[in-house]
Amino acid sequence: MWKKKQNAPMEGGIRITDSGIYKPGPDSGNEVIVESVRKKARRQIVFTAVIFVLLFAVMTGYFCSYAIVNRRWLFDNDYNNRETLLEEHHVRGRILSADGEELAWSDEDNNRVYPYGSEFSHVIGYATLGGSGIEEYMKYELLHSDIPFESKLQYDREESKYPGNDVTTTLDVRMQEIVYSALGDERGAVIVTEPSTGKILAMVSKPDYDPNTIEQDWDWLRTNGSGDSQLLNRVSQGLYPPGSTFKIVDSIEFLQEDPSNFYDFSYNCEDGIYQNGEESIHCFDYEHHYEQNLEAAFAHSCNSAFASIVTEEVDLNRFRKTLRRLLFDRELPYDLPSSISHSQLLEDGDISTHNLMQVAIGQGSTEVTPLHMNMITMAVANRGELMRPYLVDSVNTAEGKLLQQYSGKSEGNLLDEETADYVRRLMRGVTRVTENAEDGSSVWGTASEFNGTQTYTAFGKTGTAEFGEKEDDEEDQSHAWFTGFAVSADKGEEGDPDLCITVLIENGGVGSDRAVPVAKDILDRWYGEY
Amino acid sequence: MNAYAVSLSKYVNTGILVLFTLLSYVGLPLRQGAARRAIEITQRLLLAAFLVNANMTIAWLTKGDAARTLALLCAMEILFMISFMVLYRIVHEMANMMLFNNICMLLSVGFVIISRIAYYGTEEEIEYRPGEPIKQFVMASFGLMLMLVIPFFRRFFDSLRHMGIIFAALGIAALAGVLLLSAATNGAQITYTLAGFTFQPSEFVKILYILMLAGLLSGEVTKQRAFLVTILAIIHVGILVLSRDLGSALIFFAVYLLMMFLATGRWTVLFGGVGLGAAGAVICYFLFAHVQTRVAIWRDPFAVIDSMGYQIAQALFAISYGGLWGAGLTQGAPNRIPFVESDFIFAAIAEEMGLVFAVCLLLLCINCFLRILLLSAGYSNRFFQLFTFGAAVCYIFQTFLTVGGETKFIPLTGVTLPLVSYGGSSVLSTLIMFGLIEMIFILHDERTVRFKQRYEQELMNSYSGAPGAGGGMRGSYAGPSGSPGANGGMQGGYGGSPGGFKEESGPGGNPIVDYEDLPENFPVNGISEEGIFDD
Repeated sequence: MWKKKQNAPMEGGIRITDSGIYKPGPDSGNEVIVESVRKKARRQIVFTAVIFVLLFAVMTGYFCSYAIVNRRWLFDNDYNNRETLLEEHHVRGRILSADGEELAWSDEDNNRVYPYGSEFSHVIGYATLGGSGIEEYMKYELLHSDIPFESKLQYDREESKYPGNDVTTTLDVRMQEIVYSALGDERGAVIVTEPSTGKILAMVSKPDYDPNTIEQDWDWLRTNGSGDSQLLNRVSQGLYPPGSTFKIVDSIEFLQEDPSNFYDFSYNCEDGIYQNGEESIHCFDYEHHYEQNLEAAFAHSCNSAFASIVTEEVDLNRFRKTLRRLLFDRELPYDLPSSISHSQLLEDGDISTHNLMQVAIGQGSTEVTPLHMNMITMAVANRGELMRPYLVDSVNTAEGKLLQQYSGKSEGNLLDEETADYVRRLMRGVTRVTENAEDGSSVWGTASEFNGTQTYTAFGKTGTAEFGEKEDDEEDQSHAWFTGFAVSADKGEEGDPDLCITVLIENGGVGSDRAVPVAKDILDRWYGEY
Repeated sequence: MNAYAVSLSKYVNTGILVLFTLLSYVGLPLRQGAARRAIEITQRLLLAAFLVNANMTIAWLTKGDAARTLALLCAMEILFMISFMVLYRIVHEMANMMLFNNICMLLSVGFVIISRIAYYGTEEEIEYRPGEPIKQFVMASFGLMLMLVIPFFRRFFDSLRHMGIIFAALGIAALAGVLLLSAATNGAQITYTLAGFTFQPSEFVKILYILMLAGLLSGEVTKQRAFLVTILAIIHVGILVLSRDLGSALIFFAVYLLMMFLATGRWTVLFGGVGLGAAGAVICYFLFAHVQTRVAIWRDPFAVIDSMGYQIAQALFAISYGGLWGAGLTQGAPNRIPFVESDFIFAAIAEEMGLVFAVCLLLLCINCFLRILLLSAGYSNRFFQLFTFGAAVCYIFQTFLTVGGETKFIPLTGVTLPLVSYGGSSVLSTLIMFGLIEMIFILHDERTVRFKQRYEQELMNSYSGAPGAGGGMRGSYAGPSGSPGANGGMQGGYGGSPGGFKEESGPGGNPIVDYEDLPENFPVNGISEEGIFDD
């Protein structure tokens, strides 16, 4: 009905129709077209086409890059479980040590064999029951086979599964065995790394388990009432108060604020107690350290001196920044699961003097993982720059063709080079006896067992971290720490460190009594000290 | 032989689709002629090759348990589609066959992946449940037959233009019916079940809705008219939002917005509409908990992976696992995604056939869209243009919603991938829509030919009375596709007189008789398309 209305000529004889607008032409009775529907619509249609093409282009770019970039991460997700698909056609690849020794392989019945038993239990992990360690982290590579097509055909003909890719780790069998035996029956964790590259040479956590019989032992391991947590990798997931090893962090902050503090600082620890207002803190065993400079205070691990530094000398806001830079309250730059370290200073906005003193000596609610402590040590050893710790050196096909080579990746400087240099000097004082030429007195570092080693020079810091509530008649409960690094003798004392070592002995007592001998045993055997 | 079979399925299938898509784009600007014809035939061969290869791979890798069923189904699919294409050409000579090829390819990809999804279990224990593949094939065949039949009713299409209000009433009634039904059954039900067939009315209401908008907007768009259309659109969208069918609601809104934009030609309508739509979306977000849930899942499906995020997480696992070339048919685990055959079919395709294949599939969808837009741009009839345009937007927007939702690009709305996804309502309604698009094309083609004949007549009358001269004219304006019975002299012209075709067929095989190409003061009085058909 409104068609009629539409066709009726409008004012001036203009007529609008479905196909366009017409006006009277020069000859009477004729019309010329003013605007056609087609021409008018062209712009809108082109616009619509462009918009949707762009939308699809962006979407396609998004999902393709998402799928490819997150391939590994999505595959590893516990809800994905697509490794079962790959297991139908692939035999899991081998895991090798840095020098090519087999650490894990699959036998003809597709059972996983771990020739070193529990020696590599946590770091290699296990492939079944949800998986852990390198077995879990590298399952994508281990379950893919990149052998050539012709080889796959050969396997098809034999009706056997394709061999998965081999993973070569950075682990050193000799070092791992030394560490494993040095730790003995202690509960604890040891990690040995190469500070210039970030390679992890050895990683041991005890108590451990035998990955060869994990399936049989599973229920026992999971329900073990003694709370031994054998399955936990204490190196990367165990959180412990750092105790005196935290004085490395205090020193970093103190020296970063003003490098001249290294020479200017002095503190008289006369009665082994530091008093600030109503709060006080005492040195270990109320030892008296008398007049000392920073080097001596560090070597003695003098609680009073460091409590005074943190409560009186440093700027707390700068200290908080330094803590974050040193990876507190942050995900560690490490590819396998790890726990996050906390510091009470970051938790409390307005911290009490009592708690601040606890912070200074690594007590209270401050907790770190041995891996984190090792990273801080690595940064000191590597002139401030942290190389990301890594476990996988390369991936090869079963036929030996290199697929991917991993190398050290810098995580940037955790501290500046000058500070690292001073902290290195402080850590050297811990591992020797320093004679004072003037008065004939000497400073005995808390790890002075290392004094006079012939084949290498050690640097380090000990720690005794008390934990739990203590009843009066009970003995002190504490974890023993040692973290440090070593340079082989042929490089000289100023040389670049070969390795970083962090030892934690759970409930082991005093660091210098328990952790230092373990560390020294490891380094002695590694360098052939005797 | 697994390595062989897996590689075949991977690289050959991808190769076929890449080639097919490439040809679709090469053919996009081509006019009717030998080259286009060659592309069409090559594409049909590729289609058959794809179906044979894919089905063979599935049969081989599943150790041939259901090989016979698969072979039979595959043969039937090929036979039906190819014979159908030939038949279509015979019955409707002017049909746009390249669009047809795309449709059949999309259907075939759907057939293959639905067949594959019908396999359950592990390598040791495989069960093939052919129910869904067969049902899908039957529905698609039925839809294709409808496509064949629809153009016969083209005479009545013009009258649909004046039935906008009736369509609106029908559509609203159907949608409201579902809403009330679901309220009564206390569930999020968006389907009717009639005589054993479950169908989703919103799929069919879509067509009525586009017809309604095209009809109401094809005249002069006055303020009152725009207001009326807006109110009707809001009612549709509102009911859909209340039914929790957010995907359909968004599609209805997008179609309304872009059709309004085309009808008015005003940018303010587009941007204002987008703004209002966004505001509406925000209001919905705060009003409805289920909208908030969808957005939360979209932002981080892995945070709620054990509950609501499970589906999208599984889709992402699947897409990522396939990589560029896919895991190979039957080598992935698409069945872990709930509702994979309908809402998540794209993820299954990406997993087993690879990202390259999946992207080609999307390019093919875009090719369909552009092809339809080209048709729309060639129409001088407003109603034709608006309907075709609306259908194109509806198609591509739905594709965008489902693929975007599956890949976490946008929040999931749970719509199907047209022509590919399993689901009778979806396949049928999409094929009906494509049938109408083809019908309009045929109708337009027919009228153009008649218009040209009138034009020739006019020319002959005005320039010379001599019939001899007129004969010469006739040759140079030969109609593109020799409409049956229109002019005896042109009957043999189809494909045989390349000169005439190439100059006069527009992109997408759309014959051009452009008003703008005519002389400035060309007398068109009384012989516009409309003029001819008014009597």
